[in-house]
Amino acid sequence: MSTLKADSFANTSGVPYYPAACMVTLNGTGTISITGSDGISSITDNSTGEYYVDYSNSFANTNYHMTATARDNSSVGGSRPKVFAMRGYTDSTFTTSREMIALGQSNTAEEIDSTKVTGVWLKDF
Amino acid sequence: MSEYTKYRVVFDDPDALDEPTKVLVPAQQWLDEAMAGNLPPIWVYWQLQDDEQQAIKEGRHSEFKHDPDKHALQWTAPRIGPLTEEEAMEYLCMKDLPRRCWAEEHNRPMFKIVRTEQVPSNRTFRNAWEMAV
Repeated sequence: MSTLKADSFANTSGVPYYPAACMVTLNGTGTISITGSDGISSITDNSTGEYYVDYSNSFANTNYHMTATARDNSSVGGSRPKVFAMRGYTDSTFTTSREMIALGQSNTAEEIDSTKVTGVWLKDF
Repeated sequence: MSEYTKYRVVFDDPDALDEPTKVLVPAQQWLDEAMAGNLPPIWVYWQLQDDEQQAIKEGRHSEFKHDPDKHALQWTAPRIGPLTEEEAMEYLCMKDLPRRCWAEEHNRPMFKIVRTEQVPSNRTFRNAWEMAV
């Protein structure tokens, strides 16, 4: 396997690409499991609807971007999970350690699991 | 990618013992890298964690940047060589578990490496579950 090293990516017209630094898709129901991942070393089932993601390698700084989504879980009274927190213990994102993805029911905010939770992290070069 | 590992880590946070026992699931891709010998020494990660914790303590985390040389060690430090799956799990514990779980003395173990089938699959049961001594 070879490794492509570059400071930025663009197509032949100069249109930039922003590759993900890491990503994960997990099933938070039953015994929690990873269904796909890249650039992470582990996930942690913290409690209902609360998952932590550890990166394989530390980010260089806190200027990265993250987003998460969760699949509608029809088994829970039709309530839809809503991603309501994606932060660690402080106001800043962590570079070296775990980042949290937390899900709540859209109507009550009570924490809820989902069969498919996806998180994606992008970084500034 | 090899067959998905059967190992999990269950742990309690010594600072929050009333919270449910937590379950850490290793990423298979990371385990494959560990078993292929592609990891740096663990102190490379500890050094970065320590620097970040220091920045948090000093209230300068929002503008925190790693020292470029220390950060680069993740890729440039000499590799530690291939690990067995069990050794890789131990390395992962030292990298991803809160350090207070394993670096401080407690009156009972704060984490265990277990097989997946030993982890309760029922969420209600798991939230009330405690690690046996």
